Amino acid sequence: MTAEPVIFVVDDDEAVRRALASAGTLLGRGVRSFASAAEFLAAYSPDQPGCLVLDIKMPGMTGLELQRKLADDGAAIPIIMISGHADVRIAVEAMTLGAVTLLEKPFRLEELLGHLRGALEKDARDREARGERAAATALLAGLTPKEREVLEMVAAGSTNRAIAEQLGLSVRAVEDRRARLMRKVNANSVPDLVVLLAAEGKR
Amino acid sequence: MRYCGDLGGTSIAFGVPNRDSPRTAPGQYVENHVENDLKKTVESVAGVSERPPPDARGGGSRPESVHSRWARRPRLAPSIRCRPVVLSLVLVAVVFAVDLSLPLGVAAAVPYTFAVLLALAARPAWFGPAVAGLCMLLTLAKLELVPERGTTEMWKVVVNRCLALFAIGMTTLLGVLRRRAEADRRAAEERAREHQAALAHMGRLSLLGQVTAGLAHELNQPLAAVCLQADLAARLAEPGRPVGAELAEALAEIAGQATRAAGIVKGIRRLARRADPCRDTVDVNDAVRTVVGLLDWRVRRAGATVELDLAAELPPTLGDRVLIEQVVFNLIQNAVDAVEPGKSARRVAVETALAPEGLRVSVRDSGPGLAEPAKVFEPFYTTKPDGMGLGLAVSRTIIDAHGGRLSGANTSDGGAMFSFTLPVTREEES
Repeated sequence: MTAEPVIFVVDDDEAVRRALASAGTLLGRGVRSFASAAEFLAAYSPDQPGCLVLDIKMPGMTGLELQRKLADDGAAIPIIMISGHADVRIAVEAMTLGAVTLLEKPFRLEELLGHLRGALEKDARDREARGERAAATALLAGLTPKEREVLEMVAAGSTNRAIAEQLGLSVRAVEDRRARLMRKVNANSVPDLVVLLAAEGKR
Repeated sequence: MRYCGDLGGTSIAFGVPNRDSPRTAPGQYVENHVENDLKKTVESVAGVSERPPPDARGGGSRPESVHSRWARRPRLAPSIRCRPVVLSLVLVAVVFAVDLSLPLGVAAAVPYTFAVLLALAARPAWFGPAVAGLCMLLTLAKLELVPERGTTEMWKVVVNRCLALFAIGMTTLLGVLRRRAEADRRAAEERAREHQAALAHMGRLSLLGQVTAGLAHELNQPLAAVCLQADLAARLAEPGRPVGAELAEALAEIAGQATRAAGIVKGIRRLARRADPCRDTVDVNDAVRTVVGLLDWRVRRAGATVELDLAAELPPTLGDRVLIEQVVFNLIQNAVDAVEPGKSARRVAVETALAPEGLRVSVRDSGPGLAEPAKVFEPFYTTKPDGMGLGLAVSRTIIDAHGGRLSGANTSDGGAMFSFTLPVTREEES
């Protein structure tokens, strides 16, 4: 995750591509331009942070098709769609597939820069959230099923006594198990456990 | 030649020369930087009104269009059309005279059927049955006028008369039925033709729509680039910032993309103007007749009449016949559209004349006139609910390209008149 964010530009029109690249450079980010969806797919790795400026009408694979393929592949790169004639149907499809926005050509520089900044921030946020989730999942994976059961009940606010009653254990056994799982996930308090579960995305 | 008459009802016998069916355009109308898809649609539109390259002209038989086939149906001369009326009445008189001079027993009334057959061929539908009625009346009248029955018994006389009545009745019935079937068939043909013409019109419109959409897309690309680069240049040129190569680059890009947009526009204009129109001697009277033939169904549907007043011995002009026909087509179609909603006289008058400035073709109508005469030639100005507003704009471009002038104005009696001039060519001069 240490790689610098890159602004990807995919547009079949050379002049538009050059203009978009100049605009991207203005943000002080690296810009990589491609004339077709296929060229982009050949060069892109989902690990690369950044955002994508994507033209809808292109020969070969269209922008919407590329967007769908990226979504299917689980690549969560934020996409700014651009189009010369966006009808409602295309706009709805692009937004449903998770585009950050759809800009209609011709558009102003400020507008583009605003959305580029937003998209880069969104990507950074998303990547951070995904990192946290991965870490939480890894920690929680170290628990035994029984510890996990107790963890969830603790996080739900049950007392040791209630847990013991429900599981048919002694209060002491529950206390032991609870201390062990707290150690395993590096938690000092119940709120830590709740945060962890939230980061895993299950609660 | 002066021809003045109702075009409804009869088909036009004007010699329609071979009309060109759609053909692929020779291409090369569009600038190179116009992308291929636009070029394709543009060419297919051009193909709609495309004429063959000059070398294909003149020789060989070319496929006929739908229009020319029906427009070519021969029209009976008025003298032939009124002949059945006279002939049948004469025949009735002759048969009656013969019948009167023969004894009652002779079945001399049967030849009336010939008179009825002739009468059925007459133009007014009521004429056949009317003559049949007359014949029956005369058949019976003989009984009263010449009661002498010779040697024949009365019952035979009555049977003879009845047989004659039956023959006349059956002839009339069959004739009327045949006429009706004929009329139905003609109406069906007419509907099919209208349908076809409507389809052709729709096809042209949808192609035009494609061209427009393609053009919009093509223009959007350079505009998008210009818009971004201009904003970029403005930023780079902010006071206090060192002016560098980037600014020059952005400005060069703007100029380049503006030129590209202009190239696209030029390509379209060249297409509209037709950089290389076909030059032939054109008989304008003939072109007008062709168009009137083509629009016959439309005129009839509108319940209008087209009066032709064509100058005799009109010298030819030099130009593209199909394009000139297109202008005449537009003008007459507009005139018919204008008079259609009107209650009373739906008249369209087409006149050709030799004027000091050249040939003049004018189309006058009895419609409500022009609401905004100054605007009619502007592209996309239209008063029709489904109009594109291109007909007159394109027509003016065509006439300009031929070295003529197209103008339109309201007439003193409330209608509108459009007329255009074309330069005269004298063949002996060339």
